[in-house]
Amino acid sequence: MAIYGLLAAAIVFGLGALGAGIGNGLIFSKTVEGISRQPELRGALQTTAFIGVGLVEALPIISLVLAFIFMAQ
Amino acid sequence: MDELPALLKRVSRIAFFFLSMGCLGWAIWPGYKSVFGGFLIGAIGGLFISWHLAWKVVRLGDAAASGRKPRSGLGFLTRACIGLLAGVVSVRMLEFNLAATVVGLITAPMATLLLGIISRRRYSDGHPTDERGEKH
Repeated sequence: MAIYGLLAAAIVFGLGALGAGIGNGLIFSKTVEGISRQPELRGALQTTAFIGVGLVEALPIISLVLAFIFMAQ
Repeated sequence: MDELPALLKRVSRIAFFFLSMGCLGWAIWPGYKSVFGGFLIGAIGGLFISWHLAWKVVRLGDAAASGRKPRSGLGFLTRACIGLLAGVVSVRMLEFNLAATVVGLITAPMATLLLGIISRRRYSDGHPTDERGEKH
């Protein structure tokens, strides 16, 4: 049964981190691009990035917690 | 316009409200100690994650505005480790409820989302037209 727990942990965290990596990259690349073009909009762009990244990263952090709990079973 | 500190202050206020509700629930229903304890530890972890993310976003914005290369990354590993620490302390060490810990961890991001949607809607209500003169 331990091998199934390890496999579940790997799949859960691997897929979660993959999605978060793509999402974070898209959000921050557009934010940096926007700030470079219009520095006066920095406050609004930072706030939007904060909201987006907070949502995108919630899932992999939860999946990491679940993965370590699965790994112990 | 510097909205992020104000948003972070409101998110912290909501998280502290839920923390106080968790303490109250622990005191009123001691039989559900594992649920409220897990929620409290998860909410504390989620609050630290939000603070760290805001700090990193501000640093990245400063680096982009000044045109220099940011020296460090986005800090996802640090935030993941904060979440993991909250989960391990709650579930393994103190034997609290896992689901309540996860719910506590997503309290701050959900508060951020709701407050962000509300502030965007309020901002667009106050400004019926954008720079090109289009109506929303």
